[in-house]
Amino acid sequence: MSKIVSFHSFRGGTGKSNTTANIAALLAAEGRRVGVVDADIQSPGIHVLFGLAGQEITHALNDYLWGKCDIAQTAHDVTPHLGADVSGQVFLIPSSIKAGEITRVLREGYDAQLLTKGFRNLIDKLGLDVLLIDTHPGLGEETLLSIVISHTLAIIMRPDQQDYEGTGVTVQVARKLDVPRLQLIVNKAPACLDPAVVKAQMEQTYGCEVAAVLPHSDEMMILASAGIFVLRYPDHQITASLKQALARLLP
Amino acid sequence: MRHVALVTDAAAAVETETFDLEALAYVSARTDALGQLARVFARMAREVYSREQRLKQQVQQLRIELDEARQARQVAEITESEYFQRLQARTHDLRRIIDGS
Repeated sequence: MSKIVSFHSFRGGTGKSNTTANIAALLAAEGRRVGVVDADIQSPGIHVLFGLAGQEITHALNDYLWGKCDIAQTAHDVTPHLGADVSGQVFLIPSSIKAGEITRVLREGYDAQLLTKGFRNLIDKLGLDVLLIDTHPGLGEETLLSIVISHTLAIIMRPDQQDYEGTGVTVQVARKLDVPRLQLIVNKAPACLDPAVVKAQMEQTYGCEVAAVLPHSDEMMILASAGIFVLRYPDHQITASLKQALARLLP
Repeated sequence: MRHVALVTDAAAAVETETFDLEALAYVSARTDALGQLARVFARMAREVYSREQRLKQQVQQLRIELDEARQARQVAEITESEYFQRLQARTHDLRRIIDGS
């Protein structure tokens, strides 16, 4: 059965989209067919990581929600943009980056069932093994919907005071929605911290498994908006940690 | 002998965390065994200092403070909202759609 994984963080700036893109690339490198939905309708951005220019977006998720096109038409094959040969495929379903279309979808809202059916059709029509959803930070309506329809929810957080409480809130809300699998990913951990200690402490604090503790990396920061790290640095420690994370997200 | 006293003073200063890295500069400039001792000592003191700084940072970074009451209020604010309750009532249907069953 195809699996759906949502990537979420309570606050922006945790590296959520970056983590999503790298997990997608790892899956494609394993030969899987992956869909990546930019469900951050309010502030879309993951298309940049996949090297997709704004004018290359022919149909966005917004168009599907307004009945202007079929969901399959919104899928952009970004495999050639990954920067390395992979045996699988990555399809990006972008949100519109046009200001008018962003405000319209926020103003009018959309039907949860229509979006859910769209995701199902997308999986069937493209023969996807995995669908990854990059959500909008916070716990707004569209984010809660993504959580409900996910088999796994990955909560990305930075190990700092600003993220602790929001992460706690997210974990508790997700539990109330009975998400089958809940995993924390600690990102941008300072090099002076022992990852094993951080993992143990977060697991104790939230009563939730930590899929990976990823150290802050200058290379990753530099590459953050241009290229997929795991394909460029296949032997880097961060790549190894992301592979471990993937194994825990989709056991 | 005055220089030997400087080195022993430095050792005591390291213990009380008041050691100044510059304190042994003069003795370190000597070319004899005492000069060498002062140089080795200064290097060790620097290492101890930086390790201590790292550990302090570590303890500070890992102190997780959660205001449980405020967190519970935030959770309630979401779970008691009309949208959440509507969504919760539909989770079964939505999951059936997504799993294609």
